[in-house]
Formats: sequence, structure tokens, C-alpha cells
Amino acid sequence: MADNHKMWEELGMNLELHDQLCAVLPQAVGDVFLTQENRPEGMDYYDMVVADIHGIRPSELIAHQEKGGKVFGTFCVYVPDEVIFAAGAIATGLCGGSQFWVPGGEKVLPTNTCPLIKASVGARLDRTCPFFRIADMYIGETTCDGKKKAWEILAEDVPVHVMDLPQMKRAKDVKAWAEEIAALKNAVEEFTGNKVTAENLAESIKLINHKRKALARLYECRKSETVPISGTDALVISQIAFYDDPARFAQMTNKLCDELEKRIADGVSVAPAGTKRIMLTGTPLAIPNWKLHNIVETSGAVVVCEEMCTGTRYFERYVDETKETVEDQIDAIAERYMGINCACFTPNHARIDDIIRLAKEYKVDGIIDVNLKFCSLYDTEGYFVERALKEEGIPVLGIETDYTDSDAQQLRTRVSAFVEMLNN
Amino acid sequence: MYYVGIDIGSTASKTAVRGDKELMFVLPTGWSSKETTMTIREKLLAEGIDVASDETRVVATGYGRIAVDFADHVITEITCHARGGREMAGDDCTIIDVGGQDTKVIVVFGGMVQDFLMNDKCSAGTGKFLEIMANRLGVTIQELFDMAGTGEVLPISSLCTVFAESEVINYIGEGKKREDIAAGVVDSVAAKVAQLAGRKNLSERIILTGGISSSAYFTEILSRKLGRKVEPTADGRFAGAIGAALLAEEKKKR
Amino acid sequence: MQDIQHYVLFPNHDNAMRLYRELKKLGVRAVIAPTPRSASKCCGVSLMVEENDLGQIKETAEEKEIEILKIAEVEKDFNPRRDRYC
Repeated sequence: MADNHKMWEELGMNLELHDQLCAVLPQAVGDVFLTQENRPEGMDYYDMVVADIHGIRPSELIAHQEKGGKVFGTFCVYVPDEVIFAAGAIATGLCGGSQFWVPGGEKVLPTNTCPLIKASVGARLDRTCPFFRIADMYIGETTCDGKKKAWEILAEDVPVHVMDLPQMKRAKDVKAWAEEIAALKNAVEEFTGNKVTAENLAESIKLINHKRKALARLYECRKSETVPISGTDALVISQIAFYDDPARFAQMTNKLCDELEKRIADGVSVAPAGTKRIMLTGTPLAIPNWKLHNIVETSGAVVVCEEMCTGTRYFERYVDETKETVEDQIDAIAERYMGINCACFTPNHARIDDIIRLAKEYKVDGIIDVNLKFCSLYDTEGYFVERALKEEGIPVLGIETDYTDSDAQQLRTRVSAFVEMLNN
Repeated sequence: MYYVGIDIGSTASKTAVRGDKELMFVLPTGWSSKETTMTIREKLLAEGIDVASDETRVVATGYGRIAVDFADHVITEITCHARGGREMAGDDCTIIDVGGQDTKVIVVFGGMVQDFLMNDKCSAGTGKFLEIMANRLGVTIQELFDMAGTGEVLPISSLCTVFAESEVINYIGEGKKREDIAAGVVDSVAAKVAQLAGRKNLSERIILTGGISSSAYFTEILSRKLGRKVEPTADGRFAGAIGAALLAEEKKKR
Repeated sequence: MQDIQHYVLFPNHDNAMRLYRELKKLGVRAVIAPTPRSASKCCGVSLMVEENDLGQIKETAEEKEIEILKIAEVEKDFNPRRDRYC
């Protein structure tokens, strides 16, 4: 579409390099998504978003900027969108999930940095992602050492505000996070020139909760014995949630859920009865990272849940909507976000409890614990995950991978063997 | 009836036949698993076994399993090795398979795969490592083992095959004895295999399969590193193929 | 002609989605897909359609004033086990 090229050019993107990404997307989408049978009709919206992923939403963000609005880029499920939307700004996810961006990141980062960070930095510095160009300010957080240092590099190229995420969950840590949210509010107010008030914050709390509820409803459908939607399709919905307009996303997802609930009532399943149900746990799968879901679901199993940032960590639990002052609202936001269980916290037993609870809720037959290469936090925590699951008698397969295609055959062998083991 | 198991490994392709005829043979996989598959088909036909016939059931396994287009079933090497290992060591056993491309640890309990582990992308602790080092020393893998038996272990500390090769080159440059270098190489592989196996709850009986499975010398070192007795197996390199043939017998015709 | 997939290409996604909705009403099969590389260098939303429906599709587009860039014929080549991700 000619319009896109003009927009990308005006964004100062490296068109030639970006074109390499455009070249591989149609084939990958065709292979991974369009070969699936019996997809819900409601996937048409997400198919559209993916088909023009660097066109439709970026042009909306630019339209917002032309009206004087600001766009904030975020990287982590701990960053509260509520505050950003309250100030009349838009928050958009900036997660790099493609190997395409990795070499750009490796120009400035050590090779043994996780691919998510390398891709994020590469996407910005190589000027090959419109979202990374559009965002007026990035909101970073101190979730891991790799990210902390990456913000310093990015800050030389774009304004970055870093939130200091505590590493423990004592009362004083929740309080400290509330203070960080208040600091974010001040930074956002200053940058946008708009005040965050009890009224607009209450509204954005409702808006983001509404989006969470739509995702929770989608995941509720996935708990059914009848599998109304593939894990691959559900994953791309979770991934799009980070970018899309929250109200429209909730509307489209609720519409899809109407269809899925009908499918459950009618017994329409995308997988034959008895297909083994897999949950993925661990590091996030940023768009367009579809490798594992594709491998699992073309190896005779189905993915029914992701205990990941692109999954349950993103939507579970809501911010209390009854608070009336900005201060109380911020405390409520801090409370909700500090309830997310990421491996960057110590100790982190609650995450193990989450995994076991989810395994039961989603009736999973086996768990694949996924670690993005060089993420030492999740890799180390895998020790406890595996041990706890063994104690519970839930089969688990540990996998370490990155964004390259080179290990796909080996992954297929491991995953197929795991499915054979579950089927025996 | 003939029950044929074909295990297309990264280095060697193994075939095992059960039923009206019992037969085992191995071929180098070469550059094309497709061509190797054709050769296997012809070899079987020369023995009077027609893979296309209703009297024959074929299970393909191994890294090149997809290339066996005449297979009735395609099953991963984990399941096949477990089945083959059961035949050799009983229903409760652990199989350590040192393959050409990867190393597997499979825990079998009550005749079922209970848990398994494969090495990561890295080739350290696999047959590949032995092959590269043997090439570097100008000997075959068998000669490498023979030499190692008479040498004193020179430490090879690198976790990466490429860096370990540099260490070997340094030793060669320093004029160290080939026997000592060979002992270091075998010791290093055993250490990495033991490290991998040590992550799992191993069964009472542990057997070694794969290309070097008959080496009592290697299992002795491995047993020492692991602190557990690992038994060598005579037909261990055929464990996957034998398992596949057994599964062919137990599964229905496609 | 079994191995050829027909794609309808549009100047923008609005036109694509408008036609998609019209076709859905008529019960004509259309799948939203990224424009295949061999059909156009510009990425974006296109519709995968059946050859037999092309006449009706063109008529509908004309009737509803939906702008179509072109109809492309592309060899069918999707493989869920290709393992080439992006």
C-alpha cells in the first residue's frame, strides 16, 4: 500500500531494511495462521491487524499526534497504562519478537543478551519499526539487568523514563511502587501538558479493566473441554492487545467470545477429542514470535494457556474501581500490578502457585516451560517450576530457544516426543 | 509379517527387521536422508522385504524420519529409544543415548517414558564432538578410544566444541602425546554427558546406547563421573531402530 | 488450476474490509491475508478468494464502489511445518 511507504518514509524509517521484514511476513502468516482449519470467524479482525501490522495502527497513532496527543512506548506488563491514558495519551507496546531486529541490537549489546532486548534496541536503532519511531517517549522499568542498561543506550536516541520496580513484595515495596507510579504520573503530566485527575484516572482504570475482562473471557473459553480456538490464534490476540486501541480491542474480543461461547455450547472444537492440552509457562512471546505455538499445534497437541506476560500475567486481576482520590487510585494500581508474579522478584513462590492453579483450571495434560535464551531469571526459576510440577505429577518439558529458525527441527523432536509421552 | 524400524540419524542410518525375518544393518546417512532412505528400501527388497506390501509395517524415527515417505508411522527417537531400551534393560531403566548430533537421557518407568532430556543446540557431549576431535588427531573414533585407554587425561575445560578444538590444537602445538589428548577428549565428553544425565532422577539400571554404546571403556568413565553404574550394550546403536520395529509390531497398519 | 490462489488487492485496508463484509453477507468465501510478496511489494490487507467467485466479486465491488487495485494469481504455497518464522 503506497500510503504506508509514504508514512514510513516520513517516520524516518530505513525503508530498504524494513522491506526485508515485509518480504517474509506474508509467507509466515500464511504458514502459521491460514493453514489452520475451522478457525472462528471472529479472527478476521486480528487477521486484518496482522496483515497490515505496520500500517493501520501506526497511522492511527500518527493521527493522534497530529491532534497534539502523545504516544508512550512501553515494554513490560508492570507499566500501568492507566496513568498514560488518563493524561489523554496512548500507550503502545514496543516488544520486539523477531530475529530480524536482533543483529541491530547486537551492534551495541553483548551477544549474550536475551533476544527480546536485542530486538527492541535493534528495532529502534536500525529504524525498522514504525511503533518504535512513533513513540514520543519510552517508559522503561528495572525488571532485569539487560533492560536497565539497554534504557541508557536508548535514552541517547529517544526520551526514556525509567520506573524503578522493586525486587521483593513486602509492604514497603508495594508502597515504593506506588511512589514510582506517582512519579510516572508527574512525568506524563509534564510531557503531555495534561493533568491526571481522579475523574480521568477512574475512567482509564475502567477502560483497561474492561480490556482485561475481555481477555479473561477469551481465556475462560480456553478452559473448556471443547477447544473453541487454537492456541496460535489466542496468542496473536494477546500480542495485539499490547498495541491496539483498548476499547476497540475489548469490543472485538468480546464479539469473538460470543462466537467462542456458542462454539462451546455447540461442541465445535478446533482439536479432536482427547487432544493433549498444553500450557506454556515462562518468558514472553512478543509479536511476531509464533514458533512454539506453531510447533506444538502441528505436533498433535493444543495450547490452552500461557502463563506468560503475553498471557495470564497481562490480564489476571483488576484494579479496584471504587477509589475516589488520585492517591488512593494510585495505591490501587500499585496493588494490582505488584500482584503480577515475574521471575525478577525474590522470592517468587506465588508464581509457582499460579502455575499449579492454572494447570488445574485449564485442565492441562502437560506443561512446556519456555526460556528465552540468556534470560537467567526465568532459567534459574525453571528449577523450582520443574520440581513443583513433578511433585504435582504434571509432566513438564523445559525448552530454551531464541527467535532463530535454526532449532526448529530439534524443538519439533522434543515437543513431539513430549506429546507421544503424554499420549502413552 | 515383517516389522521394520528405520532410524535415520544425523551420522548413521540404522535398520532393524523383526517378524518372519530378523535383520539389522547400518548405513552412513550421507548428505541426503532421502537417498539413504531409497538405499534402505532397495536393501530390504533384496532381502525379500517389500516396504509397500501389506505384509510389512514400517516405523521411521530419528532426525531424518520425515524423509521415510513409505513409513506407516513416524515416531520420535525418544519414544523409539525408550522402547528399544526396555527390550535391553527391562521396564524400569534409564537410557543414555550419545548420538551423532544430540545426546538424550530417557527415564523409562513401568515401560513408559516418564521423563527425558536432550542437550541444547550445542554439540559438546555428543558424537559430533568426538568426530571433530578424532579428525583433528587424524584417527577414527574407534582409534581415538583405543588411544585414550593408554593415555593420561589432559584437561579440556571449554564447554563449546569450537573452543575445545582450539584447546586440542594448542596441545598438539605443545607436542603433547596424542594418547593424552585423546584421553582428555573422551573424559570431556563423559563429563558433559554425566552433567546432562545428573539433572534427572535416574533409574536403578542405566544403559548406554548410540554409536559408542559398546565401549566398556567409555561406560566406565561415564559411570565414574555419574557415580552410578552405566552398562554398555552390544546392539546399542540399533536401540532406536529395534524400538521402531517393536512399535511397528504393536501399532496397527496405517 | 487447483494450485493457483487468487488474491484481491486494494489501495488500503478500508476497501478490503468493506468488500470482505459485503462478500460475507453474500456467503462468498474470502480470507483476509497479508498481500503476498510476489503479487505486490507493498504489504497490506488483501483477500484470498476462489476463482469461481471472481465474477461476483468484481460485480459486488463495482456496485458498492469499492476500489480494487488488481486480482493477482499466486501459486499456492502454505506449509504449516515449514518453520520459517519472521
